[in-house]
Amino acid sequence: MSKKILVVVEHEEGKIRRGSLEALAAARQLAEAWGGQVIGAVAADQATSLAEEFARRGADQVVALEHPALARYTPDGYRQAIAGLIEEIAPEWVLMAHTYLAQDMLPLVSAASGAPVLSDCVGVEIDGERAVFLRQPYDAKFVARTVDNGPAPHFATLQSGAFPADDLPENHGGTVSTHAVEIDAAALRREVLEVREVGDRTVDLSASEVVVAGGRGLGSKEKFDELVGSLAQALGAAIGASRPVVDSEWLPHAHQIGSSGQAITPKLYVALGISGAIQHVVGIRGAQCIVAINRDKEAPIFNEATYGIVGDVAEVVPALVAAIEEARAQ
Amino acid sequence: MKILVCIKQVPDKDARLVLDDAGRGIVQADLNWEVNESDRYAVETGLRLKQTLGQGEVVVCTLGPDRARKALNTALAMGADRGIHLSDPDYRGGDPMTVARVLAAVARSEQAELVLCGTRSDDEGYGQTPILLAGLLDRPAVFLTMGVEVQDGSLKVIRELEAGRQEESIVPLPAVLAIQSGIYEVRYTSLKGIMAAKRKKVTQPTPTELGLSSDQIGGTGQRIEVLSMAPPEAGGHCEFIEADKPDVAARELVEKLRREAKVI
Ligand SMILES: Cc1cc2nc3c(=O)[nH]c(=O)nc-3n(C[C@H](O)[C@H](O)[C@H](O)COP(=O)(O)OP(=O)(O)OC[C@H]3O[C@@H](n4cnc5c(N)ncnc54)[C@H](O)[C@@H]3O)c2cc1C
Ligand SMILES: Nc1ncnc2c1ncn2[C@@H]1O[C@H](COP(=O)(O)O)[C@@H](O)[C@H]1O
Repeated sequence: MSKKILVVVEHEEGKIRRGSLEALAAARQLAEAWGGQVIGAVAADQATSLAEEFARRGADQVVALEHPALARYTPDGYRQAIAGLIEEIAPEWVLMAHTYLAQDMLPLVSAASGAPVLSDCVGVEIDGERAVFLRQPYDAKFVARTVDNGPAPHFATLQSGAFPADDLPENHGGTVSTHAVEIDAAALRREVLEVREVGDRTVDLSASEVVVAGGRGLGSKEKFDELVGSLAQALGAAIGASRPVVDSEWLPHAHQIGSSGQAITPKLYVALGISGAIQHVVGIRGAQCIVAINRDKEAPIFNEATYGIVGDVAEVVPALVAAIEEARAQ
Repeated sequence: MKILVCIKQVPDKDARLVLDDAGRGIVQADLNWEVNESDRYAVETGLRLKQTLGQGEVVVCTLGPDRARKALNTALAMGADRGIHLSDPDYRGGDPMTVARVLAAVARSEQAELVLCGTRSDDEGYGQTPILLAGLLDRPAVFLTMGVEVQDGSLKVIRELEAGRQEESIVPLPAVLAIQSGIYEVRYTSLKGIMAAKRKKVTQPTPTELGLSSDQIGGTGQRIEVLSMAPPEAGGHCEFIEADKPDVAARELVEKLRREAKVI
C-alpha cells in the first residue's frame, strides 16, 4: 500500500497560509521518495474552493471537511474533524506548519494515539522507509536528527521558511472530495468571545529606514537605554527590541520585532545582544542589510547577518557611535 | 482551587553547551541550571490566581534528576505551597509524550483543577507537553496564554495570536493552560521566601504510586529518538569584522556600511 502523507491546511480570510504550502512542499518530498500520495485536509464551514486550490498546488487528493462549527478555528472542532479523517485514511505522516494554531491543536490529535510531535523541523532526510526530521534544540545551537520510532501515524510541524514553496506546481490536478463531518457541539469547550488587535500600536517600525534593536544581552534597562539609545541616535534610527526586553518591561510591546511583534523592512537593521531565535528572525528577513553584534560567535543571528562583530556590546557600541560621528565629521 | 504548576530545569541561558561523546546530547556536568523561562511565568500566574481567589493551593512539580530539586526550591521560595519531585530513575530520558503521561498521572492523583505549564522548554524546545497533557486528561487547553481570570467557575483566557493579535475566550474548568513569557512581571525570591521554602514539603512519588508502568515512561516508553546532534553548519554569508580593538572594528564596519552596503 502506498504511503499517505496528510497535510492539514491552515487558512485565514479565505486564503491558504504560506506555511501550509511549505508543508505541502515537504509532503511532496516524502511522497516522491516513497511513491506515496499527498492528501490535504481543509477544515471550514465552506472548504471546497480552498481544497481546490490546494489540489492545484500539488496535493493528490484534498478533503474538504465541512461543518458550520468549523467557520472559525477552535481546537476541539479541528481535533474532531482531523482525528476522524486520520482514522479513515490511516496516513503515515501528518504534517503542518509550525504555527500558533498547530501548536494549540495538533498535540491534542497526536496524544489520542500516544504520539508526540516532531515539532518545529527545519529539514528532512529520507532513510529507506523512515523520515529523519531535523530539529534545532537549545535555541538552535544544535541540529538534531530525530525520528519517531512508534507506529504510524507520525506527526511533524515545519518551521516557517524551511521548506520553500516556490517550486510547487500551479496545475497539479489533484482531486477534491467534500465530507460533511460530524462535530459534537457539546465538546467545543473553548468559547471564543473575540479576536482583537493588541492595543499598543504607537510605534510603527515598518516605515523606518534604519532600526537598531537590543536584546537580553544588554543586561538591564539602563544599559539598553544607554547603548541602544546612543547608537539609534547616531544613526537616526528607530528603536526595536526582542521579546525578552519587552517581557522584562524595559520597553513597551509596540517596539517588539518578530512573530508576535512587528515585521520590518529597513535598509539597515542592527541587532545588539540578540541571539537570533527564529521567532525574532522572521520579523527581520525583509531587511536589506543586517549588522549583528554579539559576544557569542555561534549565535544564530550571524547566519542572518551581512556584517558581524563578535564582541561585548558595552565596548563595541560606544566605539561604533564614535566611528559614525567621526565619519560624519569628515 | 488546587493549581498544579509544571516546571522544568534547563541549562542557564548563557551556558556553554558541549556535545557528549555519543553526539546525541550535551554534557550535563558543570552546567548552571535555572527554571525554564516560560515556567517562571507559569509559577507567577499560579501564585496570582491563588492570591486573587483568596484560597487554594499551588503545587509545583518537576520531572528531573536530583539537581532539579533546586528548581522546585526556587518556585517554593516564590511562594508555591508544596513540591513534587519526579526523580525516580524510571522517569528519566523520554520525550514529551512520556513526560505528559507522568504529569497527567500527577494531575489526576492531585485532583488539580487547573494545570499550568510554560509554553516551551528552552532546551529541547518541543513546545507541546501541555497540549499532550490536556489530550491525555481530556481537558480543554490554551496554548500561549497571555491573561487569565476565574469567572463563575470558568476561566476567561487571553491567547496570543500571531502578528500582534489576541483571542479572548471562555474555557471551562478543569483545564490546562500553557503560559507565555511576559504575561506578568515575575516576582523575585526574597530571603524570607527562601527560608520559608526550606520548611515546605516535597514528595517524590514513584511510578508505582502514580499507577504508571515503566514501559510507558522514560527511556523505555519514548518514541522520539535523537540519532545524532551537531552544531549547525554556518548557513549564512556573514562577513565578520575581525579586529583586536573595538574602535578599529567599528571604523571598518562604518566604512563598509557607507561604501559597500551604502546604507548610511
Ligand atoms: C510563540 C513565541 C513567540 C515569540 N515571539 C517573539 C517575537 O516576536 N520576537 C522575539 O524577539 N522573540 C520572540 N520569541 C522569543 C524567542 O524564542 C527568543 O526567546 C528571543 O527572541 C530571545 O531574545 P534575545 O535574543 O534578546 O535573548 P537571548 O536568546 O537570551 O540572547 C541574548 C544574546 O545576547 C548575547 N549577549 C549577552 N551578553 C552580551 C554582551 N555583553 N555583548 C554582546 N552580546 C551579548 C548572547 O550571546 C545571546 O546571543 C517568541 C517565542 C515564542 C515561543
Ligand atoms: N520534565 C518536566 N517536568 C515538568 N514540566 C515539564 C517538563 N518538561 C516539560 N514540562 C512542561 O511543559 C512545558 C513545555 O515543554 P516542552 O513541550 O518540552 O517544550 C514546559 O514549559 C513545562 O511547563
